[in-house]
Amino acid sequence: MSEKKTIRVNVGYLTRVEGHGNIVVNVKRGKLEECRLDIVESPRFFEGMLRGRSIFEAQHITSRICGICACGHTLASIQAAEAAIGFIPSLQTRKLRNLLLDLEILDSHILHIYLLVAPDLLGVKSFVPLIKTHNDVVRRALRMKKTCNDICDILVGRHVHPITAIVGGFTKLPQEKDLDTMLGQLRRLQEDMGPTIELAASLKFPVFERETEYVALVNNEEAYPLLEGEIGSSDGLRLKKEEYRSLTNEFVVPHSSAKHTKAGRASYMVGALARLNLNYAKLLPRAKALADRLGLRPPVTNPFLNTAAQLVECVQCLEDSVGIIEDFKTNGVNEDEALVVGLNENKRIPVKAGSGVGAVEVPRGILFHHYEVDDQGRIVNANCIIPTGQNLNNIEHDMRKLVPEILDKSEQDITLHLEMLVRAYDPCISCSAHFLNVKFITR
Amino acid sequence: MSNLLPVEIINVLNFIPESTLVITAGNSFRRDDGVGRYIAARLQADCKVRVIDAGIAPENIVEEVIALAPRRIVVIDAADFGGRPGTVKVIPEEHIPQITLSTHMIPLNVVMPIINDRIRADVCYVGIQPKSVDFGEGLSPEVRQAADALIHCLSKKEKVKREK
Repeated sequence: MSEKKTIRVNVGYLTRVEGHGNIVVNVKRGKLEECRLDIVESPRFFEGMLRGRSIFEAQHITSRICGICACGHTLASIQAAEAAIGFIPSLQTRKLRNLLLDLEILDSHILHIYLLVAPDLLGVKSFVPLIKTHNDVVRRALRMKKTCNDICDILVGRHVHPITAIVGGFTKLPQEKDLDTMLGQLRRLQEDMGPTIELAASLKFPVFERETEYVALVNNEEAYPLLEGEIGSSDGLRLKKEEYRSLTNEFVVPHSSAKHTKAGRASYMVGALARLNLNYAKLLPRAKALADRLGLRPPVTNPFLNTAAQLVECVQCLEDSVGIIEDFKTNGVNEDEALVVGLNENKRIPVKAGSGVGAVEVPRGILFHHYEVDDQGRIVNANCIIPTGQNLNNIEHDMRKLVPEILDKSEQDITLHLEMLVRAYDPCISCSAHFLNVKFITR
Repeated sequence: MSNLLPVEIINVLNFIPESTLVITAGNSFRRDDGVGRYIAARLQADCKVRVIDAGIAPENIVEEVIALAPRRIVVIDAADFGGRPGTVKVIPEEHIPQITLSTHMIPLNVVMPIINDRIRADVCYVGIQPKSVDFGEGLSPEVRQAADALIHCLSKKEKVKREK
């Protein structure tokens, strides 16, 4: 019967993702005629805003690209700037930056798992009904998120949009009491992680397989790479981060204001599942044990399991954060490394003309910033390629394989499956500001 | 100064019980959307009741509010109800739209039920019509005047004559 089925799915405003995207699917007499993810957000021109600005203020601008990946953009920006001027950050700085990334990934994944994905798997339309039926669970999610925000506040001066992380290092370094506070908060977060794992492990994800090329940072270090490394793929691709364009090969499609990308195959995937597929062996013991419990042994080719991979990364990032802070408590923080606030007026960081690329793993995948800088440290050209842009093409290829496999389901079920698929990637199509917009009806 | 406020607001804020909690929200970098934060910053030391500023992350105050267990909550935020800039109104909860939830934003009217599922407080939303929510700091004169009137009303020293 499904062979002759005609369906038309048009999700005009996909909910529980960030920004505006539409799913359009047309099947005529069992034949898939159209299948796409429309991206209807207008471009934001951040690269244009960066031109002429100092590399010492670039991270304050680029962090505004995203309210969740603000630290990731900050760090990619700083890394690109430092690479351009040939500055090598200290080990202490790199550890603190890694801690920042851990916290941001943890924060983002917790919210995605609990608030955006769980409603689908628990059979409710949104997170709102869970307030009544699973109040403790909702509060736990928000408690965990708050902890990440609070530690971020201690570490970089604000919940989002870091202040103290700059080119060269940090303008404020954590004191002993800060380390104790952060460690105490993380210990309490560890208590909430147990029930989180139990809940997430009980969720049933749709069965669907489509092997693709998985792309993430890789390196020869022991640790799970988030901040440093080369570009690697499951098809054996190895590129220096400066060669990122050979990976992304960006192209324009008519239905998306975001460019698509592809590498060796028709599309590739970035994000938690890609990282897990490439760097499973480097997971910390508790994270690896959870991956094994969830059946996440590479290669994992079900994109719905990106959410499960995010859960594994929650444990990974939490354990790594605790390890970094304990290390600082044992070996101390060198306060002499603190930099002066400003645009390098004291010339402590030597500046020269050059070109540099930042490649950082952020919650949704590998993020690239590329700056060309003049001899005064001003940005001449900038290019930013965000993870969601890299995943869009892969999502569409998933959709094209998924739809024929679920044609025997009702249109409602097909729509739900497609929405769940897109949500599994945790796409961040844009960012919006907080504002209470009320339509008031005067009586 | 309280003459700037409508009777319904005066009646809400005047003789406010000590067990009331005032929650403010908003983004100081979006001009008048920062009115809640403006009010909170000026009330902290001199308010009849306790004030918590939720800023841009209302979800982060959930546990604190549940622990305080106030009997009454007054939420103050910028609200676009199509009025003249600086107009203050009590907003019925059903007039607050369910803004799409994302990892980037959990709206106040989603957060309040999480709290109220536990403490069952009487919640009143007070909205101030913004003139501008463009990027930038500082309030418009109209909104600042309204904010100052609210601050005046909630100040310890103020004894506003109850309107009839």
